[in-house]
Amino acid sequence: MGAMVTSPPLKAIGLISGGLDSALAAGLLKEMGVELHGLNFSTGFCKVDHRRAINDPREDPERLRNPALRVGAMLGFPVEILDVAAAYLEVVRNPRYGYGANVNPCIDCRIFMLHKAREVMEAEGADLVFTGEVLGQRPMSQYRKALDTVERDTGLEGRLLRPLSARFLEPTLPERDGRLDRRRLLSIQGKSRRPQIALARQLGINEYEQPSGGCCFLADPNYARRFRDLVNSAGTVAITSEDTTLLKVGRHFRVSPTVKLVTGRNEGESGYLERFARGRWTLTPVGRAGTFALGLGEPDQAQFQVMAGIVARYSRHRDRDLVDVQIARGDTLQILSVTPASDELVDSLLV
Amino acid sequence: MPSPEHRPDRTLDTLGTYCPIPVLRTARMLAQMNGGQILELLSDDRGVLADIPDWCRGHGHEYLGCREEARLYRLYIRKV
Ligand code: SF4
Repeated sequence: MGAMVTSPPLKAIGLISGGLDSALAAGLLKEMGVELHGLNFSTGFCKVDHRRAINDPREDPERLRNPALRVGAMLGFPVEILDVAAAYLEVVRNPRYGYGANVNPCIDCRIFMLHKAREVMEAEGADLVFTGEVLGQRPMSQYRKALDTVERDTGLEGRLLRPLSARFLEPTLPERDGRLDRRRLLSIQGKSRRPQIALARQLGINEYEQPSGGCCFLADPNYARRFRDLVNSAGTVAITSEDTTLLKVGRHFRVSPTVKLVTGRNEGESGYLERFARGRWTLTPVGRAGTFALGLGEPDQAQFQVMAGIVARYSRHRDRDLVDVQIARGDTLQILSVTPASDELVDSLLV
Repeated sequence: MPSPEHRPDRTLDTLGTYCPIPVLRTARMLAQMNGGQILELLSDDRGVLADIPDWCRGHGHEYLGCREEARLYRLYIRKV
């Protein structure tokens, strides 16, 4: 009697954002018996990570959850977090394929993540990399040409599976050799979310993040405005991870091409800004009258006056004629009595 | 819930760090431990209360529970 020959299960490495599409792609493959290993990238621009860093005790715990880990728990497969912040900053500074509507370098971002996924695939002897991409769903990164560019640039030809749109795309190697049944893969395309919502119900996936992009600072217009302001004044080469982190918090005022003021909008943000005080100017209304602010750059005395006026404007003493504002860095300290800035001035300097 | 017999074999202090650091360090520490051993994780990042149980479920480790003392969390994990 001949022994039955069973081939080992396929193993696939997935980019898991925590959004619905990557969860569906994973759920579908899991149902087909594929062994999964998820990767979730901590880029330094994730909104959830930032909410965690602010650590406001009043924040809803659900908004602090890493949605990718949730997907792994729900479907029963390991999701590994990769901290790529340092290398990722290079992608953001200098994207080969440019930015989307904001400062989101989506094509370069996909290429970056897929490169890492390919490394993991090779290290683990896996067969495939998969993503939740849907053909034609989003501008920029999900048009046919973009999908092809990404596949070519990452060297993943034949090994990059998009299960949700697979029937429109070239078959991958495991589909060609019959180890993965192409007939069970899907042909979803376009912007309608209806097929995904129906599939989620079918696969029992009931918790997922908003559509991807919503959780990335780079796709946020407010963040993009500040980022562009920084690039215009500093140039991309000089931008550090502390710079891009500070852009996420508070109100930003451009005082001169090299001087900026950042004020906290609430206790959580003020506390967060205080962590960056070392080596920087700090501005606070005397008598703990509200906001904390950081002065970035080397202001002259006239600029300090302007900055102190803005801090006074956001203090609890904003209705007074004069407010005392303390300006300090290391052992240097001065107190300025200033008139709170007018709304017009504040609006004209706000980034 | 963690009970007194859950004596940790190792303790990992991640106070003052936030997502993704506590999860990354937990993964690294568990990789060095033996199956059946218990890790105690100290954190003040409230997000770990959601993430660590999820991470454990995905990776097959047993999450034993958490004790909270004034915004300091002690989470217990048994390595499979
Ligand atoms: S929205 Fe952000 S995380 Fe998503 S692909 Fe674009 S740059 Fe990358």
